[in-house]
Amino acid sequence: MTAPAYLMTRGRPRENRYDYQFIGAVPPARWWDAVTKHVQTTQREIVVARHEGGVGVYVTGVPSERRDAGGTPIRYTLVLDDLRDDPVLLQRIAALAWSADGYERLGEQLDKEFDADRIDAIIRGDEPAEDVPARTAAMLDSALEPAASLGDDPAGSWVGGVKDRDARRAFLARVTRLAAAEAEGWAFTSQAFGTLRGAHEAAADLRAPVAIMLLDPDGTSSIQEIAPGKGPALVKERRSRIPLIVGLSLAAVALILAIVWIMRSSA
Amino acid sequence: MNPAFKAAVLGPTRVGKTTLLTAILDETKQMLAGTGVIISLDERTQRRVRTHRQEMQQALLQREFNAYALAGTQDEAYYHVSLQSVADEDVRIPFSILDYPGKWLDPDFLDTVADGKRKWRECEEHIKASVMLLVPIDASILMEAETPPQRGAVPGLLQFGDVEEVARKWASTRNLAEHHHEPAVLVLAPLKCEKYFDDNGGWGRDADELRKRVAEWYGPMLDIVRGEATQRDIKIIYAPIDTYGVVELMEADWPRESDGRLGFRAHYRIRGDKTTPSVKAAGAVMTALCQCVVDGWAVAEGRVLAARQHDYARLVARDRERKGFWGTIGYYVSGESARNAADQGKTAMEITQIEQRQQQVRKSVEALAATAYDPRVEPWS
Repeated sequence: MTAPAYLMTRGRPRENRYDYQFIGAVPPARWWDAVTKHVQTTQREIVVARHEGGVGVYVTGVPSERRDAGGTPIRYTLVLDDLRDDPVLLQRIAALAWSADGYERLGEQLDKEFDADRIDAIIRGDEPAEDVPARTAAMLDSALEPAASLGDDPAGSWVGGVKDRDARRAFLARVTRLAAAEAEGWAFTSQAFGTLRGAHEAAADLRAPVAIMLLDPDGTSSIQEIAPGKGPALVKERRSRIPLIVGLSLAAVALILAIVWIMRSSA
Repeated sequence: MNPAFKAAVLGPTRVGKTTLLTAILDETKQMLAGTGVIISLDERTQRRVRTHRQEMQQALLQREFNAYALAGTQDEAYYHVSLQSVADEDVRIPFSILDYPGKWLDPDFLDTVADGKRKWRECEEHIKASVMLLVPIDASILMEAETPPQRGAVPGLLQFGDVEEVARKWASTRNLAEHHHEPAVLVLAPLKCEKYFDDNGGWGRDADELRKRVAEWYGPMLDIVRGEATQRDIKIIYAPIDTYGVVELMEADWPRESDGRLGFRAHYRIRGDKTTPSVKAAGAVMTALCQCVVDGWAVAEGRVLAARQHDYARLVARDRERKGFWGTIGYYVSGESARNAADQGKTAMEITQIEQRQQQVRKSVEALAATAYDPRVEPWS
């Protein structure tokens, strides 16, 4: 059985109570929060992470055909909390990162599954919504493309651009390794930055191994290692100098006594 | 590096907070041309602004302009911006400006968001530490409300209660003795007011009426702020801003929402065949922020300088004090003498750097702070 897929979206009326919220059920923990400053949550972004509850995936910026009453396009966000038992589904979701068509298709399927009136009614509390996570999970299979082949996932942290085939395949390999508990940390796309420096900052902030797929890279797209950031300067443990001082003092005393003894002897 | 000067935007959902920040940064860039100072954005801020600017551009290109059609903010975002010397990029004054979803002001909404209260608490901490509180106002709601039911809908649409509550907390924090040395500026910034002015491509003659309505509707908030700030002055600036400039409100609707309350929809047209914004008066916000810096920065830097001078004096005193025979042997043999000499050199260098920075940046920022406000902008206290 597929893990429940929590669905966040908004209703069409402009009142605050129709604003973005999980409908039907809310994920028990916001494990993706730590990474939100490194992605653009209103754009197409995918985050995979190992967390206390398993290996989750966060998919945001999925477009809906719906518009709110002011004409603003509405988006979906999906959260699947634990896909350790379904690494292939995890790979297929992660591959959405470089498929604008796949994103569109996912949005269309969600629109078909949950029509605008029903979402408004659910948010108003006029319709039951317990089945939303299960229905969302069930429709995923038809919305996603088949799994792509995996590549070599360099150990540790790295960053690559979406245009690079090796980087894409390595990204899929990393999410698979996360699901199999062979890797720790995060794998995520980012439109919030496009440079190696930005990737370094994200890795330093998250303090865990990261595999970052830049969706709009500045410059080269090939995989680059993110060396562990310069931490606080290492303070060398200073060995106590007391024994040295005591030793030298004793030597000095001995020397003085020796000089005094020699002078007295010679007198 | 100095800690960043904090500023925060306090406005309801869909008022145009992100658009305002983009306009401020754009106009500041123009104001700084040829001054030897540039505005520098960190990579994430730069991307956020770029994305937002592209959305604005698309909205203008669609001809049937809809000011509300831009994607709203979904999470809090910090704009990290610096005023930086062209000659020396280490010479900079950093700012951190908070943007967040306007609906977070509504405690009822926060109850429905997982972890919403925790995130809002973080935002509140930033707001309370801010030297500037920027309050964007949807001018079209204030100006187009004519009938009693429409006027009755204004406080709800502009979330007066929530905005006043946050402004109260900000003012009371600014009033604490520990913040007396820091500046405190409240900027009232009516937006979407292109229709009411005749100085940016329009023919509006309602500038006085807008000023009157802002003073009337936001008077209670200003009274709250002044009432909380009993031990200090809070500077209040009125700055009506065109974030687009090339659009004009054509028609306002007040439809009945599903909860029975009146909503507000505005329909805009684009003037002529303009496709790029013509921002007006947004730079006043950065000018006011720089005035804050001129007022507060010397104090902040002065504290760092005093601390370094104290360190230096302590090191010199330790070096010169009478240590006795064994003390002197220990001082040299333990390596303390070498460390003291190195620390003296390092501290002296830091003192020199701080003094140089004070001179260089102060000169540049003072020039910006001295920039005359746009004629629309008025200090209210």
